Amino acid sequence: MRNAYTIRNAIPADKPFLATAIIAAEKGNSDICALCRLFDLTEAELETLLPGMIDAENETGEFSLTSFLIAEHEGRPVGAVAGWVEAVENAMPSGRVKANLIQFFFPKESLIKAYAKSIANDLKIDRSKNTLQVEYLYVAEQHRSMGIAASLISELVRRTEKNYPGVKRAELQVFKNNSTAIRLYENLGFTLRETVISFNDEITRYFPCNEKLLLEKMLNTPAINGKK
Amino acid sequence: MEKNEIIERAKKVIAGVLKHEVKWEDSLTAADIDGWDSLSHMIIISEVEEEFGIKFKLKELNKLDRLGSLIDLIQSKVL
Repeated sequence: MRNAYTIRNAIPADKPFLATAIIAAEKGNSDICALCRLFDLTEAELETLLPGMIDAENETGEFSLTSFLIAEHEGRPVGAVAGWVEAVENAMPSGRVKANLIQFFFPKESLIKAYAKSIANDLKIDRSKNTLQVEYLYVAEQHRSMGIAASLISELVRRTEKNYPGVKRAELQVFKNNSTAIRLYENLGFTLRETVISFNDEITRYFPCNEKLLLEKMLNTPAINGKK
Repeated sequence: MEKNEIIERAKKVIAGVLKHEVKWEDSLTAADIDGWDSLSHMIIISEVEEEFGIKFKLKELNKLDRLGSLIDLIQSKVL
């Protein structure tokens, strides 16, 4: 990453940027934001709701302010990634924290509409307990190809290895059509662990692709000849 | 409100969402109950709030781990 960029923890002032980052990351390599499609919200509506949901008081998960690292350029956020250790020390699973947040902040009619769509669980991959979960990687378009995404993930891995020596694996989920992101993750040492495919004709109305990959990377492995 | 009455009303709400009766035990968690996933959880919580005319705080929701704790929380709110 070039010197003009620094990586730091997210702060409350980053919330509007994180809302933009989450929606862009949800869409990946497509125009489809699954959170919007499943809950029948426009992107503008979701962008208004997200800053309220992203809070340091959410102890874990993809909507906790403390999960996010920010890449900054000239005092402004230009990149982000979320990372947390899933259900560490028997904490509540992040999926339940996310469900509680959505229940609390989204209009009830949105919840009912999502519940009526059995398709919502078609591409669900459970998050493994005690693994580093990587989510919502985003770099603003004009700052891409500068190594920012790689630096954000590397910093997340470095911090996790330092703070959680017992965590042996990182996991991330990515849609198969997002080849740029997959290439980046592979270059960072992530390998394929699992694939889920939906054969439901309607799946691409709600998700960017009908195929989702679970990638993994081993952490805290002993150094060999001083190199990892 | 008596605890038994809360349990009976909560059971009806949950059965209405999940479309099956839950054999009630205070120690049951969502993972023990067929169909109680993230999406049904949101609806169950919303319906429970409506049934009892209460609104849970986010912090309270994030502490709920068993059916028993849901009942205790409802009881603390309806008095």
